[in-house]
Amino acid sequence: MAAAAAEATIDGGGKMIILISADGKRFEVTEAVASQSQLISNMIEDDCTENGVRLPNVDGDILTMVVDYCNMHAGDAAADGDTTKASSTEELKKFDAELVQALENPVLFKLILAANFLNIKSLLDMTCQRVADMMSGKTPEQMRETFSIENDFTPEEEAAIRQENAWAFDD
Amino acid sequence: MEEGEACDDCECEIARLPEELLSAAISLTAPRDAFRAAAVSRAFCAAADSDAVWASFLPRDLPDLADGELSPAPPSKKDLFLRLSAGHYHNKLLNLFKIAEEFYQLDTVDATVNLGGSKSSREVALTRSRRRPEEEISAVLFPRTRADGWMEVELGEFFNEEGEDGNVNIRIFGKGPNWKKGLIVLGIEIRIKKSGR
Repeated sequence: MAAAAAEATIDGGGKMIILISADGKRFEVTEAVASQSQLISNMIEDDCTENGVRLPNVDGDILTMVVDYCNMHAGDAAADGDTTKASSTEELKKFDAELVQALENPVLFKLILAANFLNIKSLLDMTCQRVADMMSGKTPEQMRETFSIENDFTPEEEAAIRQENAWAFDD
Repeated sequence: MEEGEACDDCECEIARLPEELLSAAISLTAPRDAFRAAAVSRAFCAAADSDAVWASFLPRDLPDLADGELSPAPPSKKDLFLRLSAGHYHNKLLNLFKIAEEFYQLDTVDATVNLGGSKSSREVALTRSRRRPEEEISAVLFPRTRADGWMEVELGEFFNEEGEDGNVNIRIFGKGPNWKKGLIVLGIEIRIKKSGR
């Protein structure tokens, strides 16, 4: 990857930070937006964002979603001020619901990994909740189908697990 | 992370998630879902049985288990959940007790346990009296002395298929008109019977 120095520009008083995805895509965001990531927030504190923040395990398409999410939620953090940018709670809920509903499995899991790596708790909670919702009320067979999981138990092992708490497997 | 185990390029796989993230998701479901998730695959089993999951299902203000007086602390949060849960389990009740140095009229009692329409009753011994001939006491359940010095005897069992609410009535009743003396009761423990129904 080219080690182009990111130019931190001043925009309306907020310092800008450049995020660089695994595939070299660059995203310019304000510190307020970026610091929703605890990882980046720590880097800002340690003054090591001057040359852009490389995120070698987050793809550009995933980072796009993360940045959209953080832009949308930037109002949360600065909730006290009369930030005109701050989205209304209802708007946010709608945005979150639409974002998470639209996710196909592979993207959902990548987004969870990114939220975990970047340490964005609200995004991690939301995406994990989506996985939980996909499991709820399903039988083990249905869960395997939902998540394309191969059953790697021996028949005896599986029977033993089911036997242990047989009531949980009644429909 | 174990990548490339189930398929070569696991773009789509939930298997990409490390165990703690899968656990985080499972802990947002319900206990029943977690039990079921454990039967999905080995990776799911590890995540679904983790303490992170079961700690989230346990009440927050959980008291210490009678200061360790009862059975040794369960090895995992899942076991603790199972022990405390009043879900649809086949439970047995154990009386934990000691007999004082001076005692009388404490050989056997009738124990009944009932919940709703179901009732179990049996004769249980509190002491190992040798006064009665073998054949007469064959149906009697004798107590077991535990490592901690207390004795325990199974009073009965119940299956709470009706749900989580309901009163379990437990009674031990000494036969005969005579005064009794010397029974020290530590408590009653409810345990899940291992063997299913």
